[in-house]
Amino acid sequence: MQSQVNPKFEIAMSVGLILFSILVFYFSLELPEPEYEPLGSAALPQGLAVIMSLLSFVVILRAIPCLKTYDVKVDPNPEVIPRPLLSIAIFILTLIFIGVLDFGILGFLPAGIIYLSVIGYLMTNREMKRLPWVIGFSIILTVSSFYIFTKLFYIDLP
Amino acid sequence: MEPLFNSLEYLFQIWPLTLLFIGVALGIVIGSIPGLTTTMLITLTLPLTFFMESVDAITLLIGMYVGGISGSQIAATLLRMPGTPASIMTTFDGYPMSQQGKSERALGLGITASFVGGIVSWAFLAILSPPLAKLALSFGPWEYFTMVLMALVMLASLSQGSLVKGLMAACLGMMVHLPGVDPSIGQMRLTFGFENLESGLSLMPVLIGAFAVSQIFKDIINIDAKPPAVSIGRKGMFLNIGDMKKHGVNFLRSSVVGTWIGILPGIGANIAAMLSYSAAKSSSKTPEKFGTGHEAGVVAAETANNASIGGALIPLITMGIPGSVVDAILIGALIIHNLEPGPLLFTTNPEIAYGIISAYLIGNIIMFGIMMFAVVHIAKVLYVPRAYLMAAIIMFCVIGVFAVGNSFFDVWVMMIFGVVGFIMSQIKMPLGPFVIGFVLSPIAETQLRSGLMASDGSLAPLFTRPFATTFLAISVISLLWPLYSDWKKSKKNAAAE
Repeated sequence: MQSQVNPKFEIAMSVGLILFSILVFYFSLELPEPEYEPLGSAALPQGLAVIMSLLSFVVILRAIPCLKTYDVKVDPNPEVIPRPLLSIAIFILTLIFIGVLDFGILGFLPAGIIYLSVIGYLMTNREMKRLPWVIGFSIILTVSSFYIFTKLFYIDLP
Repeated sequence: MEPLFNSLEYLFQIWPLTLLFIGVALGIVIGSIPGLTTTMLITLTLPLTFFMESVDAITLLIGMYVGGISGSQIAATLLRMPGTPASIMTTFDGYPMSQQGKSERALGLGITASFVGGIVSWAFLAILSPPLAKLALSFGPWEYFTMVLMALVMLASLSQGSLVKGLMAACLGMMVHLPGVDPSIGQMRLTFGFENLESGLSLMPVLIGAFAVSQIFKDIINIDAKPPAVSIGRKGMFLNIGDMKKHGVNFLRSSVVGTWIGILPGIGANIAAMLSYSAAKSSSKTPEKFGTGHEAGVVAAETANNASIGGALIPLITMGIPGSVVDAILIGALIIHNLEPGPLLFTTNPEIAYGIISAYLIGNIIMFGIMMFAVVHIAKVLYVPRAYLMAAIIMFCVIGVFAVGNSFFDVWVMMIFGVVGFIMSQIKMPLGPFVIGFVLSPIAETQLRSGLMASDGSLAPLFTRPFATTFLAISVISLLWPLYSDWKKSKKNAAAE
């Protein structure tokens, strides 16, 4: 039987979930014993942690035999070249954008325009001729969002 | 009937009608773009609905639901790229028809089928909901607990991927809801020393992270994909009486199948379309034509996927149980608007219960109008540059989540769940059970604990109360059935070898 998913990923995910379950179980041990009802606050976390661990073990047991037989299939001539690095870069830039707003380094308007311009530039294959369009789009989107949210919905954007 | 007419009358006022129109139109546009889902649109719109009246908010979301499922057929027919999973079956015959130069005919059939499916399932929704809600009023904590259990198990066992991963996703969703105040006795739990976790994780950041953020970063990986150019006109799009007669039985059968599948908790529009397609094929005199551009295939798939929406709304408004992921988000929307989904909705907030029913009817009519007259233009949306679209969506995710709680903690939570959603999709762990587990977890826990308190810790009511026993039996069967069929399949394979 060959798993469609890389069994190494499945094992890693299951180990992660087992560790998470242990953490949940451990912290729920600190909860007080039930006084007025039979179940108490700790029952659900502990029950879920046990079930999750058992299910994760099942996934590990199923994935182990597939480790030897699993074959990574790479299309030699893909129609579209996948760009995982671009996705990671935009994710990191988004984290930076949120961080800049959260820590008050820049306000929403300048941060939004810079952020959208940079990610737009990256997503349009760093073509210089498209940059003015990207910057224009960033300014329009950021300014209009800012005014819609602050003036119409009364939300204080930073 | 009076409350229904009252809500219909309300919907015909300018503002609600405009909202419904916007909802349907946006749903069609977003649904037609492969990669962008109805779930994503509804999730992203939720923060904006805080500033609306509850009825208007629900009206807008129902419009998006109807539009999204219907709009997904455009890309499925023209490009063999289903806009949402609901239209996977439409690609089998819609795309070959398009290749044979019959795009307009395929779209006309699909749009009419969506409309008929919607109207028939609306009739079921309007007729069945009030008496079912009355029946559900007699339910106690055991019935509710077993019903939630049934919804989770059915969703886990029937969603894509393995049963084990479906159950894991449901457990994970429930675990994510644990931090904060215990809903039964107010005890603080699992905050790990973080002050921000004391009020628990909110629905919005978890939803937007898991569905929208994860999807965006998945789509960016293939951002260079460009759909092939196609041109369509309007000729041949409208069906005549002869066409309606020819496909009448198929329309009716697929509507009933779609509605029934929709009622079952957790089974989405894609399964409805699949079963309806199989039913149409097996009852056809020319089953060999299916998959080669056969009109009956398009009709079966599109009627059923739209009918499933009406079906799925039945358990939502009568019992507060989601029939699909989108319904789980709609339940979240009701909760956010301080409304209690379930049978009491008909008594405490009839304008909402009947508003949902009416919005679904009018939404279908608007969908038919927009699709028939504007599909030629809507199809052009398929070619909007992805870079601008993605950038705008990321921005709206950040502002939308911040707007809900005026807190950056929620925005960080959204990003974390974006990663969680991405990992889950990579290892083929379904997101549906995760979200429904998250939404239903407090209901399940509260009801179980109330039930146990009432019975002095005894589990006997699970076996003595007929509805609770039935729901429990269905849960057990749903859990064991996939294992049994796997075992039967492997035995058959072993015998063949």
